Amino acid sequence: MIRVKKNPPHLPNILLALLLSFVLQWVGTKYLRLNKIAPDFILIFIIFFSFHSGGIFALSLSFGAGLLQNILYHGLIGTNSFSFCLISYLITFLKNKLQIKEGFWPQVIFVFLGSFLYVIFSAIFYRTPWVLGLLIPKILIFSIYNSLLFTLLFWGLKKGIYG
Amino acid sequence: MLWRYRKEILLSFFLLLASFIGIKSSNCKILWVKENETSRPQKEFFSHKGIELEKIFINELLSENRRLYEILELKEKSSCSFRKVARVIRMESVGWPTGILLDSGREQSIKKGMTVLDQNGSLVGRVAKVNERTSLVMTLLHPGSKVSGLIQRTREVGILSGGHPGILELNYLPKESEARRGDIMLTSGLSTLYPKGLPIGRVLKVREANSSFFLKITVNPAVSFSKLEEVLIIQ
Repeated sequence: MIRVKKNPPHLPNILLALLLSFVLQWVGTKYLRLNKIAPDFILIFIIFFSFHSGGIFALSLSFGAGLLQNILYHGLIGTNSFSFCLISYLITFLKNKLQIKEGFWPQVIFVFLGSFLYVIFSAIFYRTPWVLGLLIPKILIFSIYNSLLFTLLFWGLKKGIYG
Repeated sequence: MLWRYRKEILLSFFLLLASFIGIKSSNCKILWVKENETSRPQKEFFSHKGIELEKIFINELLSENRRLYEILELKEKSSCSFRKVARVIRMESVGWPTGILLDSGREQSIKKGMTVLDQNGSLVGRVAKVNERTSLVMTLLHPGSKVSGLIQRTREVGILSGGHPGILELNYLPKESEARRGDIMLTSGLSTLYPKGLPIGRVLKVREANSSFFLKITVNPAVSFSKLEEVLIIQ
C-alpha cells in the first residue's frame, strides 16, 4: 500500500489558525448569529485539526483551546476543555477505526456530529439535560450552521496549516 | 506497553483535570447563582449559544427559589419542635403517587410516623419507612391511608381515606350534614398521627347513598402531587 506523505503542520501556522478562529469566534458571536444561534469557530478548528493530525498534540491543543475559550468567552471553566478533548479523541479514534479517508465530506459529517455532541455535553455540564428534548431543532441548526461554515473555511484551513 | 496507550492516558489526564477545574470553579458559581438568580458565565454561555436555555434555566432557578422560600416561611411559622426540608427523589411518574421517596432518612433524624407537608403547608402524607439516607412517605392517596378530617365551615369530623385515583373519600358523615361543594377540609387533630388544622383539600362532590346512613363525599386534595419537589417534615 502506498501511503501519501502529508506535509507536517507547522506550529506557527497552527497557532495562527487558532488565533484566527478565536477572532472569528468573537466576530461570529457578534455579527454571524443565525436565528440567535452563533457558530463555534474554535470547535470547527479543533475538529478539523483532530481529523487531520490527531494524536497527543491535537488533544493538548483541544484542552488548551477549550480552557481559553471558557476564560475568554463564556461558561464554567473546564467544561469546554472536557468536551473538546473528548470530541478530539473520538474523531481520531473513529477515523482510524473506520479507516476514513481525508476527503471533504467525511470532515463535514464530523463537524456536524462534533457540534451535536458538544451541545449535549454542555447541557449535561450545566445540569440541564432535561431541556435537550426541547432543543433538538436548535441543536440541529447549530450543527448544520457549523458544518456550512466549515465548508467555507475548509480550503483556507487546509492550505494554511498543511500547505 | 504504556506508550501504546499514551493517547488514552493523556485523554484521561485531561478529562480529570478539566473536571477538577470545572468542579472547583462551579462550586463558587453555583452558590453565586443561588444568591443572584443567574451567574454571569452561565448567562453568557447561553446567550452566546443563542439557545434559549437561559430563560428555561433562570425560570427553573426562580421556581426552585420560590418553592424553597415558601417552605422556609412555612418552617418559620410552624410551631412544631422538629422541622426539616427534604427533596422528593422518586415518585410514580404515571397516575397518582401513593408513595414518595425523600432524600432524608435516619441520618437526618427522620422518624417513622412524621407528618409531611408541601410548600403551602398542605398535608401530603406521613413517613412510613425510614432508611439511612432516604425515607418513604405514604401519601393521602395510598389505599391504606386514613386521616381524621374536619370540615372547616361546619366543624364536622369524618374519616378521609385514599385508594381512589387522584381523590379522597370522606366517610362516616351523617346524612344530616351540611357539607357542600367547596368546603375546606382540615386535619381534625383527633388522632395522634397528624397535628390539628393542616389543610387537606376541598369538598368536590356530596352524594346521598340510599342504602347507607352516611353521605358519600369526594374531596380534592390540596396538594398537587405531580408538582411536588420539596416537602417539609414536621413532628
